[in-house]
Amino acid sequence: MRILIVEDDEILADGLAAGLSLNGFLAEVTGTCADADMAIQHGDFAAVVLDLMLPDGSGLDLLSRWRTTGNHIPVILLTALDAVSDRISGLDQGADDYLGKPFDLDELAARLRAIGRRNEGRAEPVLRFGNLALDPAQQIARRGLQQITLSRREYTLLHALIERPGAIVARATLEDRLYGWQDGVESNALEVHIHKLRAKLGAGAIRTVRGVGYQLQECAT
Amino acid sequence: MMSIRWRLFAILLFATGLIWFSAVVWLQYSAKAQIERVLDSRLAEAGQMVSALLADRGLADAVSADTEGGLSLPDFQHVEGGLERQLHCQVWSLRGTLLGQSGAGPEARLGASEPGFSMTQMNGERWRVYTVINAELGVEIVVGESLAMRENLVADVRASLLWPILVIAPLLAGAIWLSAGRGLLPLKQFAAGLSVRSESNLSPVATTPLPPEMRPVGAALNGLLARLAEARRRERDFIAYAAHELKTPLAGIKTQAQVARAAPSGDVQRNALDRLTGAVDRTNRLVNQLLDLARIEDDGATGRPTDTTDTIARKIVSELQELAAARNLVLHIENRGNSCGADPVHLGLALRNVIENALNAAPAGTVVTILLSDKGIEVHDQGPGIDAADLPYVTQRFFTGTGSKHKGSGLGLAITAAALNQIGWTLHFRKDASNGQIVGLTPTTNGHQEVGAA
Repeated sequence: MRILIVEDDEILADGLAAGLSLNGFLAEVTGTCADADMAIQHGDFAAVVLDLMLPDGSGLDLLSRWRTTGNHIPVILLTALDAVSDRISGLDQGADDYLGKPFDLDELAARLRAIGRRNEGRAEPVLRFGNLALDPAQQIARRGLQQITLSRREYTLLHALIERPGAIVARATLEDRLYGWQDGVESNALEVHIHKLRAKLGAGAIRTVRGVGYQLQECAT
Repeated sequence: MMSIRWRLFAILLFATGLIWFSAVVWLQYSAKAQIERVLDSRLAEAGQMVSALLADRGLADAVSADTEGGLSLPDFQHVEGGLERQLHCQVWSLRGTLLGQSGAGPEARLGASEPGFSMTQMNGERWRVYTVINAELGVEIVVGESLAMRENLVADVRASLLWPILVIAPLLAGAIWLSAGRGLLPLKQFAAGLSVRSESNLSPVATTPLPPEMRPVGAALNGLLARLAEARRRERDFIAYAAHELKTPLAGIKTQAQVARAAPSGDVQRNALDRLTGAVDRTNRLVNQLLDLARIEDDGATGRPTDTTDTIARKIVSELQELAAARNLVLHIENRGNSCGADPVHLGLALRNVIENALNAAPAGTVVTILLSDKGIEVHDQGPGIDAADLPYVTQRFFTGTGSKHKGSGLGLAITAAALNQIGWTLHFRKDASNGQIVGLTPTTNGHQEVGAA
C-alpha cells in the first residue's frame, strides 16, 4: 500500500516514513498543504496520514476541500488536539480515522491495513488467491500449510498482485509501488524482485504479459 | 482607619447632641427672660395694688399719726403656695420710717427710694424690688421678691428640658447605631458576596442592586475582573497551545524509538537513534523557550542596565560561534560607536533568539553580522527574510510563518519582543540593499541609559 504522509515536523515525518515502510507500506512525505494537494492529484495513494497543523494551512481545511471536490481517499488524521470534540469534528469533516499524538506506530500500521481492507471490500485481514495467502500484518505468505518468508520488496510486489486477483498489473504500477518517487531506479530492478518472488512461490505463480505487466496465476504446487 | 459605622455613629451622635444642647441653652435663656418679664410685671402690679389699697382705706390718718404703731398689711404668704416669704412688701413714710410690712420680712429697707425696678442684697439673698411712691399719701411702697424663686423656676425649666435628653439619648444612640448599620447593609452584602466567590469565578458582579454610591466600586471591580479573566484565558490558551506544540516532537520521539526497535538493519536503527536525539534536543529547546517566556512575563521589574551592549553581544556571539560553525556560517560582530547600557539577562535573551533565527535562516557560506552602534544592535543576515505579510504576526507566540521551510517553535521572536518590552527596547525589521534581513533592537529614550544608572 502506498501511503501519503502530510506532516511538517521533519523528525516525525521521517519516523513515519521509516516505520511505515518497516510495516510493508510505501510512504511518501510532504510537509505542506500545497505539496499534499499536488501529490494527491498525481500519485496513486491508498491512504493519507494527515497532520492538522501545517505551515500553510489547516489539515482539516485541506481534507474538506478534498471531500467537496469528490476525492474519497481514506484519511487518518494525526493531531495534538485530541479532545473528544476535536475527534468528532475531524471525523465529521470526512476523516476515516483519528490518532492523537503521540501515537503508537504499530497501531497506525494496523489502522492503515484496516483501511486497506475496507477499500478492497473485504473484512478478512488475510489476502487469498487460490491456495496462496498473504498476511499483511506479519508480511508473510502461505501456500497451504507452508510458510513463505518475504523481503519487504517481495511483500510489496505480491501485495500489489494479489489485491486484484487475476488482473494484469502494469509494470509502471508495480514500479511505482516499489520505489515511489525515488529517482534512478534501474530498469531491470523489477525483474530482479519478480525473479526472487517466483523462486519462493513457484515458477508458474507469476505470469509475464509482454509489454503490459504481470499477472498472478493459480498453481497446484 | 475607623469603621464607617463608628464614624457615622459618632458624627450623627455629636451633631444631634450639639443641636439639642444649643436648643436647651437657647430655651433656657428665653424661658428666663419670659419668667423675669412675667414676674416683674406681677411685682409691679403688686406694688400698684398695695398703693391703691392704702388710698382706699384712707390711711391718711395713720400716716399723720406717724408713729402710732404698726400698720397692718395683708400678708402675701398664702397667696401663692410654695412661694411664701418670697414676696415681701414694706410701706415707708417719705420721711423714712417703716409704717408697716408684710409677714416676717427683713427689718431693713428693701431697695432704693427711686420709683421703679431695682436689685438689692439683703441677708445674703438677692431681691428684685419695685418701688411705688404715693405722693398723695406721702408713702413709699416697696415690693420685693427673692431672686431664688426665679432661679428655681428657670432651673425647673432647664431640668424639664434636660431630663428627656438623658432618657432619650441612649435610645437615640441605639437608633443611630442600628440605622448606620442598616444603611451600610449593601456594602456588607457586597463584601459577603465577594468573599464566598470561588477563585475561578471571574464573572462580573451585578451592579444594578447596588446603591448609586457603590456603583463606581462595582464597575471598577468588574473592570479588574474582566482584565483578570482575559489574562487567565490567554494563559489557558497558551498552556493548551504549548502542550500541543510539545506533543508533535513527542510523537516524533516515540515513532523514531519504535522504528529503532523494529529496524532490521543497523543503518535504519542508527538513523532513527540520531533523529531521536535530535528530537529530544528540539523538545528541550522548546521547553527552555517556554520557561524563558514564563520567566520574562513573571519578572515584572525592569532589568537594571548593569552591562554595556558590547559586553552582552560579545558574550552571546561567543556562545553561538559553535552553532554558526556547524551551519557553515560566519558570525561577525562589529562595534561602530558608543555602546549603551542594558540589562544583560533580558537583552541577552532577546539577542540570542534573534541571532539564532538569523543562523537558521542564512544560507550556508554567508556571513551573519551583529552591528553595534549608539542606536542599539542590528543583526544582518542573507537569508530569505521575513515575508512582509507575516510581519505583523512574527512576535505572536507559536507563529511559524506561512511558507517557512525551517520550522522553529514560533516562540523565539515572542520571547525577544517580551524581553525587550521589559527593558523598554523595541524590535523592528527591515531589508538591506541586497534584500537581506535586518533585525534591529533599539532602546527607547527611557530604555537608553548609561551603564550603572539606576
